Amino acid sequence: MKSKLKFTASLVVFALLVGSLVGCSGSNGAASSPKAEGSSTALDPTTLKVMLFGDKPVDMDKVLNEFESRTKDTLNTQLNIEFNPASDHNQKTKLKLAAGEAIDLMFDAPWMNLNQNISQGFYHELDKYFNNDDYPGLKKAFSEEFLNANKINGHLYAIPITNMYYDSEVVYIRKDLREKYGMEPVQSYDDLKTYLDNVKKNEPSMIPFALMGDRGFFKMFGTEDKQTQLRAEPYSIAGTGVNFNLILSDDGKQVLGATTLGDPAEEYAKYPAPFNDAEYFYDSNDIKVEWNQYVQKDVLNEKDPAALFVSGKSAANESTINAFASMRDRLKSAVPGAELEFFVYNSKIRGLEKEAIGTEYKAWNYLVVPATSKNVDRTMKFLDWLFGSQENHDLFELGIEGTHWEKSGDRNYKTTANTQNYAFPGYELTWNPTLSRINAENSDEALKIINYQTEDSTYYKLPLTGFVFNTEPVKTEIAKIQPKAAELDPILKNGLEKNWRQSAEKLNKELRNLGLENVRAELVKQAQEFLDHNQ
Amino acid sequence: MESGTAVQTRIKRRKESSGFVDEMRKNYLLYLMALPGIAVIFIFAYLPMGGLVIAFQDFNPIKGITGSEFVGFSNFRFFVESNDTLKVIANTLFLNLLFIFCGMMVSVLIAVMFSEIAGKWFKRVTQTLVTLPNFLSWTVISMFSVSLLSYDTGMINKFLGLFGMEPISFYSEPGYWPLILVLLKIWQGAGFGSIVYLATITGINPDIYESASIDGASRWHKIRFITLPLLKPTIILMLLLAMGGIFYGDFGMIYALVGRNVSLYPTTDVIDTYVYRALMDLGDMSMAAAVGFFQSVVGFILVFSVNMIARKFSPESALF
Repeated sequence: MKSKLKFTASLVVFALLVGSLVGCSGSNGAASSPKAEGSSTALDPTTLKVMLFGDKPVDMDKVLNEFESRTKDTLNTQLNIEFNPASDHNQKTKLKLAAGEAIDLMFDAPWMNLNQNISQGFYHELDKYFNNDDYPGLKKAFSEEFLNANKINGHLYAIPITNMYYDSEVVYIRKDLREKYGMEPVQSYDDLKTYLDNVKKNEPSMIPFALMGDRGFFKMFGTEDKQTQLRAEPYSIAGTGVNFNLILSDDGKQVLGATTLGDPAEEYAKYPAPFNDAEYFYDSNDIKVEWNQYVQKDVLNEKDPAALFVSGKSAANESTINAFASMRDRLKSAVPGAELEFFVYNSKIRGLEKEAIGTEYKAWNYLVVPATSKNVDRTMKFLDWLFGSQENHDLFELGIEGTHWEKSGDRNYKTTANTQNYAFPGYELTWNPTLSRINAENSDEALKIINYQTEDSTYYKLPLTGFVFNTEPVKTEIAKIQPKAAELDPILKNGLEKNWRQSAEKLNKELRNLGLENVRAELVKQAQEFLDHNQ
Repeated sequence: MESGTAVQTRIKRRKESSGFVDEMRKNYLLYLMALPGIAVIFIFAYLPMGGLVIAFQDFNPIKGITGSEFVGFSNFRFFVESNDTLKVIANTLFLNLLFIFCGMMVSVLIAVMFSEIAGKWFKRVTQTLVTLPNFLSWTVISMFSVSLLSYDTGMINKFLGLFGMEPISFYSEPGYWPLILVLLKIWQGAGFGSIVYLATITGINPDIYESASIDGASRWHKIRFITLPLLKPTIILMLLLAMGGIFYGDFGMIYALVGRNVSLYPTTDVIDTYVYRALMDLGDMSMAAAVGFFQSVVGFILVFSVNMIARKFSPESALF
């Protein structure tokens, strides 16, 4: 009897995995209270289920109470916001959607499940709510151009959330150390190298330049050329398993082909100069190898190099300009006497040149209304209210004025002692090019770059804008090549392999056996179809 | 022996119809009490097995199981055709065998030691201490392991430095990792695993020990000839249960400790971490289900065959 039970128990375990794949709950999160309100202009009371990720701000409930008291007579809406850790959000929303649970508004992004979920019909199409006089707030806050660039298959399924199209990469360094070595501000890679050499020589207990394992040197040393007939790093088409250099004809109407890391020379020779030479795309790997001497030995295991930097264990950190204010606070509170400074490593951005950054005018972050929602109109009414006035927008993005933040000029804000109690992740709900305020506590230099990023003239439109690679026809091949290719990627990014050309060639041969050519052909085919269709 | 049982079953079968009714009439209360349990297992363990069908479909959650297209074995293709499949299967088996056998040996050892400790207070404290790590999550343990093993800041390398030795780059040397993983696994789980064995030892009739003492057996003799042989059925039973999971890499553990550190993949990449990396961007439930199905089937076959072996050598400890 006992052993039979144990057998059954092992069967339970066996079946659990399968069971976890088949969700079968069908609870309805959008319950509305039957109690009718007195006011006639107010809508019926309703509760919207919202799913975001990250830490719930300490004073979230205070802000929600303020929201409810402001809108009791109009929207009459309560928000039930569920915050999950970032990694869980991805899984949890997927399972909830698969289970048919009602969610009225949630965060999704191309780097989560957005594209697959749209193609599977998970989300409501929202075209009619924009550019519609019944929703004036949305009409004002989202320009038609911005929306058009974020349409998929000609429809708007996801509301783009961004305050600028690009966040410039910088290397943060320690001003106090630089001055200690008698150096002028860092203006070039050579200056940065001198700084790192000085750190290496003078601070034996510090890591000169701590990098993140899977990010490495990121876009450092890479090509800064404008991509008019090319889509390659750093603007390569996503979702193909390995990154391709997609090359177009002079008039931009024909796809000539695609090359990738480790392809034989004759593959490159087919294309016009300078794309006929693999070195054009990849020679920056040599510099990464040379600079690896400054990097921590365990770099591949490093998940949070910023923590090393702000605690004074490393002397430089590769990140983006929007992190300036928080990075400075953290550094100053942990290391007395430390001063933060940054070096914009893309020379065009450093020189504030026009058309320096390629863009598809796409956001990285989106809000979606799942097909399971029964409150689409009410959800959009809420968003209309949110984007309808600066005051409403400030409430959610920054908190209660006077408590969590103070005005500083028209477009900027200042932090207060209570700011940290309302650290709302604006990039998930409220970020907007016209409404978002900028932290006045950035240094003048940082503000200059941040303002530059908000200007239209900073950007140029990339070829194949709006093209999304459909993985479905080659998903087996992608599943085979992706983990293999991902093994070499961090090694190159961190400059850990001196003979990277040979390793890349070897990898390329292996990938070809796993179906690389099918993926390449499919990419070229789909890109050509897109060009034919959009001319 | 074989024919004997056959005859018995035949006799039983002849009586079956009346036997079933009799049995029900006599013990219906017991069956009634078992009913909720059976229902729970049926609903949560057997019904969901129908979901296995998505491993053979191009599953789309909006269309549902009934609406998705049937595609046969094509979801299995990527796993079967990958170059690394054999490597990750070998790693999974090797690591799991190490975990199972080392963990079992240490658990039995701990259980025997505890059963020999006389001081009640001391026994309780140590027992709590060895059980405690089981309640730490692997994410927390991974932070310990970084502060122990890191090249620049790790405790072990600082310690080696005191003796003028070269630091060891644990996080770029795959060779150390089977050992590190096994040690961490034992530290985390062996204490908790010993509870079952300790319970079995407590259940052994003290008269046996007493009479052995009278015959002049030493402590060591009693362990060797009484405790261990009487533990054997439990050990085999636990082994059988562990076999079912031998094709499942411990994702929570390995992903937390190794993460995306490519230099450690040669010895630490298991089926689950590999599949996670391969399918993370695609988010294809069917392909993931196909691999899960494959793991379950192999696990089932292993449980079945190990049970057959167990039945042959030690019938009283076989599961079925």
